[in-house]
Amino acid sequence: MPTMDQKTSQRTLLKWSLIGLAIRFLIMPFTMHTWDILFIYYFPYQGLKHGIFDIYHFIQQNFPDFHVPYYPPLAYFLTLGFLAILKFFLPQLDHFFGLFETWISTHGIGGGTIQYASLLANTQLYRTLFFLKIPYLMFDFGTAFLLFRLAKDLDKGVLCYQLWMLNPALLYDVYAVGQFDVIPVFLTTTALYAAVRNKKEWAVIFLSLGGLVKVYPAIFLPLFWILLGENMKERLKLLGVSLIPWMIVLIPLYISSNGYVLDSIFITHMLYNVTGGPIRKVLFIAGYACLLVSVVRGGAVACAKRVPLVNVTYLNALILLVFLLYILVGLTKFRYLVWLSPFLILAIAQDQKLAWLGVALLVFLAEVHLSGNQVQWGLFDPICPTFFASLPIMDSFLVAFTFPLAMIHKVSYFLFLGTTVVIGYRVWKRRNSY
Amino acid sequence: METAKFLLMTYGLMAIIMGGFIGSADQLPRSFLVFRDIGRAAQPDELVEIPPNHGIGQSFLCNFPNLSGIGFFVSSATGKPYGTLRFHLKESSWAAHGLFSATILSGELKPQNKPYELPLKQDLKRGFFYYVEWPPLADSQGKHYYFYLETAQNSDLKGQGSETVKVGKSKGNLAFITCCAWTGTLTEVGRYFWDKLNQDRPFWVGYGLLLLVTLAAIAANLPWRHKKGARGKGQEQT
Repeated sequence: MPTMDQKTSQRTLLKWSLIGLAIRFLIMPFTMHTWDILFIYYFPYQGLKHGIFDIYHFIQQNFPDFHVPYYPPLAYFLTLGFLAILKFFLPQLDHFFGLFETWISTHGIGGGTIQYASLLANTQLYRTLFFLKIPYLMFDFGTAFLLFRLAKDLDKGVLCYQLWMLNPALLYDVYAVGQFDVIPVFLTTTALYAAVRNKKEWAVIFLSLGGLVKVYPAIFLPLFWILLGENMKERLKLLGVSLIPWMIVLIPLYISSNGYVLDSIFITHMLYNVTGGPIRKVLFIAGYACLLVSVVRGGAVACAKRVPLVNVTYLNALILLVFLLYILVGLTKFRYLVWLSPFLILAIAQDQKLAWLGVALLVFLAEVHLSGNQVQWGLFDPICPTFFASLPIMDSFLVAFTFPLAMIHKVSYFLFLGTTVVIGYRVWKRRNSY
Repeated sequence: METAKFLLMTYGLMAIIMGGFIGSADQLPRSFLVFRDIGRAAQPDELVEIPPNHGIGQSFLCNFPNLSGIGFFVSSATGKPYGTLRFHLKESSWAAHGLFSATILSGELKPQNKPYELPLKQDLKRGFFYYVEWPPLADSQGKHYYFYLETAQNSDLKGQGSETVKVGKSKGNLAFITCCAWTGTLTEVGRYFWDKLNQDRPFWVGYGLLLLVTLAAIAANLPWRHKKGARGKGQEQT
């Protein structure tokens, strides 16, 4: 197949950018999931209204019964910045969040999408949902551009770009549910890009910044310290550099919030929902330790052979393997697949059989985890709450006709685990091919 | 390239199937078109007994029209009440007349298969939600209701077995789920959507233009336009 030329690739990228934009625009105003996007923006809204720097202390003082910690500090400051601009397009924002505040003061953080979609139906809901999701587009297209640049040639770059534009996990999590996972995804991808370009300090800084938006990118820091540092001194230097963003952001907030800010990082009483019980944690740590050992050994071999170890394929494989390890032993949700999707896409560009395995992964996990109206038709409740909330899903028919749904879910779950193992094996096998 | 086109075609197909399903949703049996209002299918904090010839009640505010059912948590360890469990729905605890009553015999108190009872009840240990249903109450939105459960002992079988029903409670309230039916038509759905659109016309004009421009730009960048252009250029050069 002839290699694409520069002009054709630019045209193709433009076309697929427009296709991706159109799909996103069609989803954005009409979808939401319970209180996700409301919770994300409510506290920055309070921050904007009252000029608050330390939102954690504010929550402690004004919402003492809140059992859900707010996100890490950079998530707050970023969404505060977004809202400072978006508020000019949202004239009913005060009314919107006023109703939300009244609801949570009576019912707490609870209720389904139908409750919120009905409550907020007369507050320019579609406009608000659309504009609140607009900032995500920057990080979304930024990630797509990075994937294009990370690929080995133009053809693979265009493939990565196309797959990202059509990424179902991204469309679901970011534009339907309204979560901001695309921001740490962008920062983790940028860290990979910086590492491959030998900008080691920037690589660990981007990972640290990602950890201040949602905690998970921080898990890659030990890998990056070991892999990017050529000797112990350099590794310690990278460790020190990666702590700088955390110290700058967390220390002042720790003092002003009486330590409450740490709940946003360690989420102790919610950690179980993400990591699972002690056995799962031990399995993950053991698997991660094995990966670290392989990195150290790989570094020694590469050094002996005088070949570069830090390359896209190898680093991408390691990051992907950590994610696969997590979804194998942790308590994963369907929308967490967006975290690993850029790295899976890069792997697919190298090994296209992985595309079918990736689709299988999505399908099996969807069968297990998208098992209620709220995560399927219920996403469209803003269009007509009582109608979409009542629509049955496939499982509803299976239940009504007494199919063994529990068995189907168990089988899907094991197929999902098996697919994860197969993907992990293929990625591991090809980690050194560059 | 083929993977991307396959994904795009899949999305198109999904949109068609979803549109078709929505378009024919009002043909579905109405027992499928039910949504949950209050409550979650979650494990209650504690189990309490309803002794023989006693009752336990709960009031609630219905948020939507067409209240059509209530599910209450029953312990699997409920002994077979040698008698009956009665469910009553009233507008308040002091209302003289009830709106609906149902008698649940001991053999009937077991897990049912309701299409709206999702996610799966596999996380429910020690019991299940039992649903009582009735014809939808059209004007239920914004109204308070009261339901209570009472056990009636069968005097012939007195003393021959466990005679208590155990139900779930969370934060002092009975663990229950309210269900409302959708009894409308697709025209009403369309009308609701149109009303909401009309409330914010400036946004929809801007949004429509944005979408139109994006789609026009896609059309302008389709391959056939460039192939035609390339052929033209080639011919000129030769």
